[in-house]
Amino acid sequence: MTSFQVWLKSYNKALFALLSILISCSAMAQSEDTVVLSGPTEEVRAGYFVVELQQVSPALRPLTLQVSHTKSFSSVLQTVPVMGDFNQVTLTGFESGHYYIRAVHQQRVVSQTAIEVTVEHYPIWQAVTLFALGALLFLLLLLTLIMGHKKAVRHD
Amino acid sequence: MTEFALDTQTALFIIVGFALAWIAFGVWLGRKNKSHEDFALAGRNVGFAFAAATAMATWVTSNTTLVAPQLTYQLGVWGMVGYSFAALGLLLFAPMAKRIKQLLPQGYTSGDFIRLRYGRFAWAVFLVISVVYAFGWLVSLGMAGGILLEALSGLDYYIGMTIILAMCVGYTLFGGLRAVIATDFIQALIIIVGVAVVAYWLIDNVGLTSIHTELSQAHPQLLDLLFPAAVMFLFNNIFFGLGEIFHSNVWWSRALSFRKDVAYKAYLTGGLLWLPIPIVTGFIALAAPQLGIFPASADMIGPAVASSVLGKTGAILVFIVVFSALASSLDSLLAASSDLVTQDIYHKLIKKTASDQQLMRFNRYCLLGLGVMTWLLCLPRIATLGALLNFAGAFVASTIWPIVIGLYWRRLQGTFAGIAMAAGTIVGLVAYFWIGFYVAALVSCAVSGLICAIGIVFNKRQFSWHELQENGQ
Repeated sequence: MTSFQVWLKSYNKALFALLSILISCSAMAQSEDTVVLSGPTEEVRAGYFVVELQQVSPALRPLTLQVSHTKSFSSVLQTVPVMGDFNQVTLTGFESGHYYIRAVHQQRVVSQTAIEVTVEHYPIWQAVTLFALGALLFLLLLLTLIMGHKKAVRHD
Repeated sequence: MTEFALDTQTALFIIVGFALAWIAFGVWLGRKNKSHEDFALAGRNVGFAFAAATAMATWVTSNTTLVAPQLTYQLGVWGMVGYSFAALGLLLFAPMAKRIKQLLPQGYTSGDFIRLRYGRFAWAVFLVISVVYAFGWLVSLGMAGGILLEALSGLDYYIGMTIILAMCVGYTLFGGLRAVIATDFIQALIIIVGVAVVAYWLIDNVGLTSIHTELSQAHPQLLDLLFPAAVMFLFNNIFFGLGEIFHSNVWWSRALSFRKDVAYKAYLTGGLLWLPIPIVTGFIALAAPQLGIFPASADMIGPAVASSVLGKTGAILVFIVVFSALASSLDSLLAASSDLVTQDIYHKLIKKTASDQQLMRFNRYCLLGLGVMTWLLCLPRIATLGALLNFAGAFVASTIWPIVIGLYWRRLQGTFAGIAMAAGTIVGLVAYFWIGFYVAALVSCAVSGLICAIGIVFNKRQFSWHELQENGQ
């Protein structure tokens, strides 16, 4: 190996190390600047769910979440402040539909990507059937109790 | 850094002050306890005011102050109204309490009734259900105490949980059921006044119209009366509440400790007093979106809103109310569970010839042991309050039919009652894991009821009520 080849190899190694440092610095700067959101991956059946926040640097507090029906967030349905320095928020009261959620700090979007949550409530027939079964069972119990109580009073 | 509604020193000062006051009160009340009956059943001489207050205060648990707002936040108006239907447990237990006092004038526990009415097989199943429920509730209350004190004030979980458990064990150990009922009376007053003040300040500061407008626009499902999950939840919650009250020795020991003719009126009044409390605590959660409060975890919503509206005064008020709610349930459960172990296991199985003083001594050791076991189980924070309680729904709802039928009708026999409780629990648990928590109690109650009905149809022998009188009592 000539001296030039040795020099070139050392030069390449140094360049590679420098580039690695630059890339990791850039990634660190990005992670301090952005938040990773995660939500339910399956359909939400009862209209409430938890959104978790990861990699939230103190510089990004106070943080708010925006909820929209569209991926472009052309109209924002809700703006939700994240409480204290907690890393999760429980959202509630959603009707069936698709929702997109992103994180915002001082009017700047700070979530790497918006998450999509699908809310699909139980069919009403299923709920009403269970309700009717419960009502029937309760009525039977009530009748048993009233009849028993009356019988006991008569025998007093 | 998290800002707490209350600084740790103030919280510690309040909690230690309360603990010392309650224990001193327990020692003072305990001077009157001369026999085991005095200790376990307050001499069977509790009057109406104390009886109604203890019924109401014991049913106001950490669930009423934490889970009622949580369910309202999650399931809307139905969550709030549905939770308040748990009052039906107290209201329907009123005639049963009268009957219990009539059938078992010298009885001690719910286990006594099951053993004498249905025999040893059903009794064994019942004891397993009671122990699972009692430990589930005890551990969840101990954990809730630690978690809540930590959430409100930053007080270390282990310190908060230890103090609340030590306090309840302390005054119950010295004062017995008499101390439990007397402290319940004061705690009931604190809870009613505290909850009313928070609700009034909320309406005054935020206003009903603005709350309604915000919910209609941004959270319409919370106002929807056809909210499917909430509609499903309604009757399951009712059966869970009925199962909790109908089977638990907490309520039976009270019925047996009340003066003659007091039990019926006391449970009825207690139920009516309890009914609006979940509505008020639940309403607090409906104001959250309007106030811009979205909690990390849904069970934090009640304290978070109250502290936000009332500031430091509100935080202190919430702290005292929740602390009272926890204590009034923990002490009752400790006393009732140690009575059950003393009477049903020690006296009936281990030492049948135990003297009155031996029973009282064992009861105290048992109480202390239960406290230590609860403390040990609370250390690892194994599950959430909601998870523990929902799981218990499948167990307790299976006891509803065997108890109601057993108290009033003579045709149901022990084997069917035992199978009804065991099968109801198993199928309820299957429903819990396969379908969801909102059907476990309902399924358990339905299966148990069906087996009881079959038992009545096939059985020819009539039970004689005289068999309930043990040892010539």
